[in-house]
Amino acid sequence: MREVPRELKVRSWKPLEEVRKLFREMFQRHLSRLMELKGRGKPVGWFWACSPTELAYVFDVVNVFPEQYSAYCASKGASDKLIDVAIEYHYGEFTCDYLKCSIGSILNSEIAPLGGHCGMKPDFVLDSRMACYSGHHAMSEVFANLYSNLKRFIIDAPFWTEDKIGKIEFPAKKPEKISKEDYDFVVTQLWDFMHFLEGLTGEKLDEERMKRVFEVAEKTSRNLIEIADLMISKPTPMSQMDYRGFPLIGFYITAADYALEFTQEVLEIIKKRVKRGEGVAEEEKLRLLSQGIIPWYSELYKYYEERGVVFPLNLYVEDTFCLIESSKPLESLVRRSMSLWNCDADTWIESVLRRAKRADLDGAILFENTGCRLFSYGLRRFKETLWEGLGIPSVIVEAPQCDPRGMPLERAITKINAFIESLL
Amino acid sequence: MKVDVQAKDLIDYIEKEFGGEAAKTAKEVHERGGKVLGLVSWNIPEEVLYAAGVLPFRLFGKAQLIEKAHTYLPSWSCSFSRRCLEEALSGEYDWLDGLIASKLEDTCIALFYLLKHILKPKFSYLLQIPVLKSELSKEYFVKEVLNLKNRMEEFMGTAISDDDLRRAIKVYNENRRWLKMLYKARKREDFPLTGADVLKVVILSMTMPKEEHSKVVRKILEEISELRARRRQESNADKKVKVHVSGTEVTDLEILQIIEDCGAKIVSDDLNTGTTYFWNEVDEGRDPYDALAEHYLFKVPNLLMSKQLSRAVDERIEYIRSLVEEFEADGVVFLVDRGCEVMGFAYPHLRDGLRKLNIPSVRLDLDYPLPREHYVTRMRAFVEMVRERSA
Repeated sequence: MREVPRELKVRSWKPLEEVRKLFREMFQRHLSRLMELKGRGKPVGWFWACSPTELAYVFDVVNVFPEQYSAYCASKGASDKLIDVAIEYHYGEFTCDYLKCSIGSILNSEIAPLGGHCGMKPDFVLDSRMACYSGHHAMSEVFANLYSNLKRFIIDAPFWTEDKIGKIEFPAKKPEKISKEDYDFVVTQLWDFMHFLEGLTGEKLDEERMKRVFEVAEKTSRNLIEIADLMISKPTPMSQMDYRGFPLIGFYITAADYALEFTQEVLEIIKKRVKRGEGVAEEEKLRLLSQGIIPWYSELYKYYEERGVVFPLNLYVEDTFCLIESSKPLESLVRRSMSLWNCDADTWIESVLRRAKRADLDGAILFENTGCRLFSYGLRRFKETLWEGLGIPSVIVEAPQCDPRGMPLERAITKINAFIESLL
Repeated sequence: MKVDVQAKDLIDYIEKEFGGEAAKTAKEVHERGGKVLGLVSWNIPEEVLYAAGVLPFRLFGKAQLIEKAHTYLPSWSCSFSRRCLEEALSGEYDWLDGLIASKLEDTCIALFYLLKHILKPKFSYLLQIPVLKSELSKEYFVKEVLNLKNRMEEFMGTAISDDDLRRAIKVYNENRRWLKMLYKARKREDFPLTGADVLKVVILSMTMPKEEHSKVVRKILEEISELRARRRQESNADKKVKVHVSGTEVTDLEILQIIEDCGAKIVSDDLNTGTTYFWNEVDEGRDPYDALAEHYLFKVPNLLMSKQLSRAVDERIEYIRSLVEEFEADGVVFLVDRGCEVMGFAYPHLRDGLRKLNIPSVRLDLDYPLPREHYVTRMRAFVEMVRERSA
């Protein structure tokens, strides 16, 4: 029996059914696009987080996202078996859950949801070292080994430091500057990638089309940033159970018209709720920051929101956003690589602390994701900074994002409850 | 530091240095007003540091008992980062003048920032080494090596000329040649040093001044016959199975001793603490910045770097194959740290690649405390299997 702090009795929980419905419709439209393009013989590309996915829309490439697919497998309760397959083949136990799950679905697609990566065997993988350095690169290498004819195209971005970009505004990812040599280095590679896509699709770059694609992406990204700003309102207007799906848009499909329509409609809904003072919880008891990838197989957010613990600030979700500027498409793609993972904390900490202050937080839950070195190694330092900078206490919870066996949910809840009790 | 030891004492000397004297020497350099920079990664163009008069000191961490590091690191982190952090939190690195890491690997980046947060050094630099082996990357990396030079000049308050850098390259190449000669000497059946001894010598080269280290290696080679005689008396008369050791950062030499205690003789490796650190030389006949960029980008075997549309694992398999062939190894022992991301992904493909080449291999998972009996069982079975194959 869980010892829930007395003050946290289950009250009503108000997720936004209309947002869920809209999300499902958007996802269906995305899958339809993949099928339609595949039917027309368009090449299939696998993309990682923070990569220039807008270009998939410029060239009509079938864009598949192994990490997002793994999250989907976990939410469907299928990830543990897939992870076991990867470990049986002697891939490391302590590598990223997403990647083990993805490998498992390639090695045994029969037990993988949606036929394994939506049944979309890749023609190429974009090995974009723009967020997770060794992980994305090593996995692209694994894919290239598992699919003998797979073309692996590498784009490399620097690990951004203060001397290169100064301070950065989060979540828009607008830095004070970008050093010329680094900018040129990445942009040249982006052009090389576009030439690669020209060769693969047999179509020349259509600049007018590119302009239109980036106009859509700009509108979508502005919507996402505005939604993020509204999330820190009091009361918090939307459940994290709904918000946690937003990385699909932020990372991968900002340039899709269906993503623009979705964000537009959600923005209107949220605006109205904020205006009416409607929140996800009947009565907000605590406002917490969430950082790290939530275990996708769990309903942790729901469990706490039902009890009046809300999450107005989810740094992981918001880190998937980036302000795309259609007047500066390539610069926008360079900035996309300036995620919290890929920047020295000195560059973003001020902006994140400012945001945390605005959110009027009582505490923070920091999820330590198995195998994610850049993220997990930095959590303790972030915990110290939150405390020293804003007096916000936090708890670190071991949270394998796809493997429920790694951290039993009951144990996580016990730990979080003890933390929450100290805040009440 | 002066090397003034008799040949017969060399092994003892290496033991002593490896056991902590090297750090003491580096500390003395610091106390005398010299500068010592801690290197978190193994692929830093140390020549630039040398040219600035700085002593590069590779951080490994020797802590056996991990306590404090758990405050900062997840339980699944690799032993290399846990040990380094334990040392840092125990005050063992307080004397360092600064830190340098390269951005190639997530673990090194994350560890660099953690160490920086804890040690608060006066100087720190994250070297932006590209992952893509291309002309564009080289052009970028030449500028990055220049950036490093500029930062070293600021730090030391002294200019580094092209000639200074050329001299540094010469000194480092000489050291590479000595180490290579030491490895080549392993081809002889009566080579007297153990695999652990040889790796100690390489690891020492990462922590002590290069000229002095070259003297140590030269002395070992000069006096190797004496050492041979000494070791011959101690050695087992049984014919050993020759093995190549593969992995990333291996500094725990007990594991090498266990391998050799099971009837194997280590003849070569592709460890970051072994041949990959020194096997190829920097071209002395060209612009030093260009030569250094070329070397660290193209000539140092690395599982995280590759050419466009090609696979790093293929390059590594070819590198292992060439060493196995040159040193006539009978098989390969993979040492895989359970927390090592690089090997976590590469191992199945390295193993499969060697299988295709008909090179037998065995995997030992590095975990601490070392499960000795488990290793012994696996190694004995492997040695027996290899013997049967060649019978």
